[in-house]
Amino acid sequence: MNPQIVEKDEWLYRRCPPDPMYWKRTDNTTSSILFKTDALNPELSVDRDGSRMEDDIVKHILTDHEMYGVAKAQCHICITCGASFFPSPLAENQFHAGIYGSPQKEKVNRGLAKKMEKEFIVVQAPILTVD
Amino acid sequence: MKISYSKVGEPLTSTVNEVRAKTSITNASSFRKVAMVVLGSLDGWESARAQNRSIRIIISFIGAQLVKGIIDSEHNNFQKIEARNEIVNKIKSFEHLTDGWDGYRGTRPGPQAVVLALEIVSGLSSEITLQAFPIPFGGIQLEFDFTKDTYIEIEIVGSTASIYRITGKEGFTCENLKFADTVIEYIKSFASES
Repeated sequence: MNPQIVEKDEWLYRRCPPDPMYWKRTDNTTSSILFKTDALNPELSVDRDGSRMEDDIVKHILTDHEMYGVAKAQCHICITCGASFFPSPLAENQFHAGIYGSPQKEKVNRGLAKKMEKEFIVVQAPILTVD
Repeated sequence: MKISYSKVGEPLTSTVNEVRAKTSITNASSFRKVAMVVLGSLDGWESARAQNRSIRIIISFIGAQLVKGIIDSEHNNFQKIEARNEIVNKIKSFEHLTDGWDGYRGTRPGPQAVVLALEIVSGLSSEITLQAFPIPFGGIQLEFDFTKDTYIEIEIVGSTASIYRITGKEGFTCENLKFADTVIEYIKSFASES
């Protein structure tokens, strides 16, 4: 894993909340809200694959978030949508990265969020807490 | 034709003629209160009731077309009102979200956003279907899928609503709007075009 840049062929993983209120009843997909950020906190948190097995990635992301789901998208597809990526390792998570709306680290705007909503694939469905 | 009816989820209680049955249905304040079935289909009714199936399945036992029409109509209206009530309750529930609700740094929508969202939703006919979601940075998003290619998103943060519309492959953001009436008029005009 290159600590300086997120490679185009890397997969990026993001948590999805377990409450049905965040899922669309019509097609059981989530909304673009999960990919939006604002100017105050422009970074959208994701985990890089870091050449790990997907099971390990999912297990890592769901530590302390057992009921949540996980969705993924490949970096180059998000770039096509207009996203920019920066490694953003944390003390507790060296695989952490940020998605931004531009190379200048602007927020993820609604157009980009809407595009990413369609590109992220659910790899592990959340355990929905209410029917 | 003799028709029996009951409150949903309870055994059949009354047997009336078709005219009276239709009157009961029409006058019912909530469709959920009344369900009907022709005599002779009791086994089907009991079976459906036991399985807690929807009213729509139960009415398929009714032979009288006119009665069925009324039930369908009432049922559709009821479903729309129910769906709208669900949206209203969902928006109210956003006030109880805890920080980090999205698994990251999500904060709950502020009271101004909740009030504005409720104003907008209550100003729209229940014929217009929509979905509501909290936004991680303290707002509410209302989504309208008018047609396969037309999508409108209203992002409410604080006391301001901004509209984002996608038609085909093009999307654009409209100006920010501070008044619920303006947003309602925008949605209504678009709904009528669709």
